Amino acid sequence: MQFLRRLPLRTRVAIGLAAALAWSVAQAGVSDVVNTNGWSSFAEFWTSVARLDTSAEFLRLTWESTQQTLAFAVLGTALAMVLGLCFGPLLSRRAGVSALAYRILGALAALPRSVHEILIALLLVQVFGFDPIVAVLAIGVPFGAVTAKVVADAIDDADRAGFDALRATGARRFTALLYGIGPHVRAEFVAYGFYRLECAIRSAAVLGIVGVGGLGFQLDLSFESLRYREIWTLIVALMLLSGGADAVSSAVRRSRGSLSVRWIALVGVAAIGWSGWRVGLDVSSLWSQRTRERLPDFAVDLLPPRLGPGGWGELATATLDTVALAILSLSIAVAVGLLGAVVIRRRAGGSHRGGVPAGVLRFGLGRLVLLLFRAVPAPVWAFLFVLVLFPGLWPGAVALGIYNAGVLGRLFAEAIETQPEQAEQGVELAGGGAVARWLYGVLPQSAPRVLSLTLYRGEVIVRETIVIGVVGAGGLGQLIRDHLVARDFAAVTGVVLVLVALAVAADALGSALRVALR
Amino acid sequence: MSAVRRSASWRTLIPLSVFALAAASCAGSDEQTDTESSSDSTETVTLRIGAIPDQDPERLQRTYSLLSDFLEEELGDVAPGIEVEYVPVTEYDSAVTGFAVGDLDTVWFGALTGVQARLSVDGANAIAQRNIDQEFTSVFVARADSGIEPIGDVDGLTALAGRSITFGSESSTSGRLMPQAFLEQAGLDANEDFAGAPGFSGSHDATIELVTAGTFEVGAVSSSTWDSRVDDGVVDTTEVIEIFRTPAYFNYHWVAQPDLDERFGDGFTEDFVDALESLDPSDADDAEILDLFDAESFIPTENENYDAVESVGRNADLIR
Amino acid sequence: MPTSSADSVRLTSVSVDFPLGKSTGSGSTVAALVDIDVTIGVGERVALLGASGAGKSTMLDVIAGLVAPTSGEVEILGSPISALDTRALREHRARVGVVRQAHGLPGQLRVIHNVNGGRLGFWSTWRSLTSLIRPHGRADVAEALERVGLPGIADRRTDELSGGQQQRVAVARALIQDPDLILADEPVSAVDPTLSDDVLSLLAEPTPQHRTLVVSLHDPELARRHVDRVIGLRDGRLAFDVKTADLSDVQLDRLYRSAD
Repeated sequence: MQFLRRLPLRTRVAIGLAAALAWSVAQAGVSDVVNTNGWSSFAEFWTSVARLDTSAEFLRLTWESTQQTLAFAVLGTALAMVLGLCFGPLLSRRAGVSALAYRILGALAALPRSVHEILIALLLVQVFGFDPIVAVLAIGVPFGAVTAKVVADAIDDADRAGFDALRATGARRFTALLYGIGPHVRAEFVAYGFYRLECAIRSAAVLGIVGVGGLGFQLDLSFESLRYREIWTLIVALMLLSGGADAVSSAVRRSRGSLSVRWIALVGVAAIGWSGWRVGLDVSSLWSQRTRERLPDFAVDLLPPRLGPGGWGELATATLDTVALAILSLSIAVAVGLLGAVVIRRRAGGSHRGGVPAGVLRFGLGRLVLLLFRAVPAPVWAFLFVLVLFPGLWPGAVALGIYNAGVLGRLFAEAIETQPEQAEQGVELAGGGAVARWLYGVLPQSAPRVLSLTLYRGEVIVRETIVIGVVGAGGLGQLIRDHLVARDFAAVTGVVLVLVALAVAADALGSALRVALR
Repeated sequence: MSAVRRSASWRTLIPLSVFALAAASCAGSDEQTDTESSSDSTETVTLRIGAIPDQDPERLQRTYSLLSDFLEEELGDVAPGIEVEYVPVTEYDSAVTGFAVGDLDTVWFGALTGVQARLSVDGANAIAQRNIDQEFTSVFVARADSGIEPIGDVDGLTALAGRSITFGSESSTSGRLMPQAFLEQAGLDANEDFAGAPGFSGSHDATIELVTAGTFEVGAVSSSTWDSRVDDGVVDTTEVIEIFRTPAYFNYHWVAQPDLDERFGDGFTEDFVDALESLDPSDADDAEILDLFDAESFIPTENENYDAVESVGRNADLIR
Repeated sequence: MPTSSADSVRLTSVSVDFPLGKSTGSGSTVAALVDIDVTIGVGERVALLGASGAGKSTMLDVIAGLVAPTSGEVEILGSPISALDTRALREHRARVGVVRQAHGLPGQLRVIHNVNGGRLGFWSTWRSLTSLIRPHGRADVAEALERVGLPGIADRRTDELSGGQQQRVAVARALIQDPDLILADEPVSAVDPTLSDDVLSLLAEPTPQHRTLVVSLHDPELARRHVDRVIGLRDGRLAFDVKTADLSDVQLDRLYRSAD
């Protein structure tokens, strides 16, 4: 211990992380991991990529499902934006609400952020039944909470001169916010809205798996009967949808400010109208007779939280499993994501050498693989990896790791691309090879940004472990699944409380590490 | 047609844009009553049926679209103009949820999910089952090249220790609950005594697929699905073999909402059972439906038949 | 490496055009270097003088191989750079030490790793990896740092140092590389004037004898004290190329005045 205390902080953190990883591997187990018997199915899945199901009938089904997924994403994003705009200003320090109200609002906004959409959907379905409103709320409410936070931060960070000037003329706070700060925040808000849409598409796809409909739903059905050719057709549709949203979202981010907000609003309203019609949304189910009857009943079912029949022991084991799952997933995501970033990074200047076609091929292929990783919902990756890895933490960890590597790879590449290249050139000019260039030039510079993206992703992954558990890959998610199957909702609430605590802890640990390693 | 469509999309648009502006929806209240009354009127004529997704989704779709047509015809007398709609779900517990919230009127459940559904809706009843459901069994299957020998009795299941195993759905009676109970009877803990954790394939067909592919050495499936796939030649019995058939128990049945008579007319529930009972194997159309259900006929049933499974379910913490 | 002649640097009719505007693709260009012919022999110490924007940095970048000439030929240490394959280019670069204005020392790395950056051309991948965990060649690094007047800072984080100190770390990195050709772009611009002479005399040290130095400087007096030959650049063209002893104040005056 004494010896440890004398080491520099970074070394201690590194030792801690290595120990956590080792513990997670032990927790997941190293025997009975690989199921060699499933190899042929696994291989068949990958070789089926060349034989997409292109029958007219299935293409039509895919087209319909794609529209449905998109429609849910649009509606969920719209709700999130509305919620964000309504509550964001209240959460900002400039809104001037009382300290107590600020605390309460902050805590209220933090709760939906720490529960995954899929869980919200599974609970809402108990009240609203198979109603499209479930998907819209499940996406819109947690995203709305995040958006509110972003709006609040944007308001607080915006130049306050306009606000102060208006206040000085006697304008009320709200008016001053609207006219003084609004214009500053608007472009950022529009860009953020598109980013949210991109995330919402991935969410809508995951929600399909719990039966909401759309591409996720079809993927689940096709996986159930191991129809790999259909699966690939659906995956291609998901990649097109997700890739399209990515492209639009980065285009909007690049053209920040130059887009006509009026035009975007017009398209937005049209998109919302179309989406509502497409999924048959009827907001009156929010206050229908049935909702009024079921809501109190279900509240009684949910509360008070209780321990499942497995007792504290089961809960503790599941919690440790979830922690291990999150650590393993994050490690895989970072390793694979970094590799991806190395492959797909664009260099602004630097050496003009290296065959151009080879570079383009590598670049394009790398982007495509990362898109594949993040376009396919994590549970679908889990279905796939359960073929070659015994049920337990490993298939879940690999699935979550692969999925998040797709997200991280792109973010890492973007973070690295914004760094100046002199350091890398320095190593290059001294004759250093590719690895040396990364180790001594690129990575040290991007490390803070990469680290911060990683820590944020860690918080997301803690929430996402639930998605994997729902398909039976261990941890608290599996426990929630067990309780849901037994319709023991009070026990579900109990596990959710633990999950929220874990999310909060991950958040705190992330902040601490960010400060320590700055 | 186009006028109807326009008004429908208009109706959804108004509350939506109101919603998008997040204003108090005073203006939307007229629209709201309008939508409610129209959905009420459709509710009285549409019977929504569901089923646990225990088999290949495509086969389910075929089975229930045929059955829906049949029921529409048969039930037209007591409920004129009735439409029967099949609502597919992906998980066993979604079927229970759909029944619990009232989205599904009658559902083809397994014994365990049927009990769960009745416990969630006061006054719901088990109304009909197949002839084979009184003496239902589960089958343990294995890959032929796994070297696992056929087993004589429940105690012989200990021979499966150390193998990898997959069940069907977590909520499946014949694909999980009963096989697990018999394993327990033989002294095996499904979570401890096998290679890795047990898999949950989701359905009986998926279990057979995974064992055929070799992903798992042993699988537990419903005997009716297994026998049907063997008869149809879908399963290659040189690759996958039956190694044990469990003792019999009560399984699948239709469960109905308590208010069907109120909503669809007096005697509706009885007519529903009668209609199923009238399925005649000598009629070609009826025979196709019965065949898809792997049954010779449907017969009435009652709640007490599932008491035994309920206590097994409580034992396994699947009913709380 | 075949050294066909005694020349260290040979630029023949080198011109460099930069596109105007970053991504407009308008096609208009600005000439950064126009028709430069320069030959620098092995062991020579040469200073580049000129106002900012005269083309000093571009010329150094061309010699370093960072910027490909629009026309003309570049031969460094006996090899035409454009003809080298990846492997040969690496070996070539290991023999050329570069100190750039934007020195590009990642601030997050400890000083020792940044100095070791000069040896990456000679190290295996494995060695460059393990050195990050347990630094290799500690003694050499300490000596190089001491020579640039920064003893005992090997384990400090680079971004904790002042701009002038960082510049000297960059010099240390070039020294530890022990190159045949040193290219230095304003290596003492941020260094305390009292230290500038020390640092420059290190770069211009006559040992080893075959080492060539090309350094751009903003202060002609520093050039007079440390190099044998001075090249003046004005608007991308060669203004003069003389022995230091022959450099006249008139030449200098004209060199800087025309840029105003």
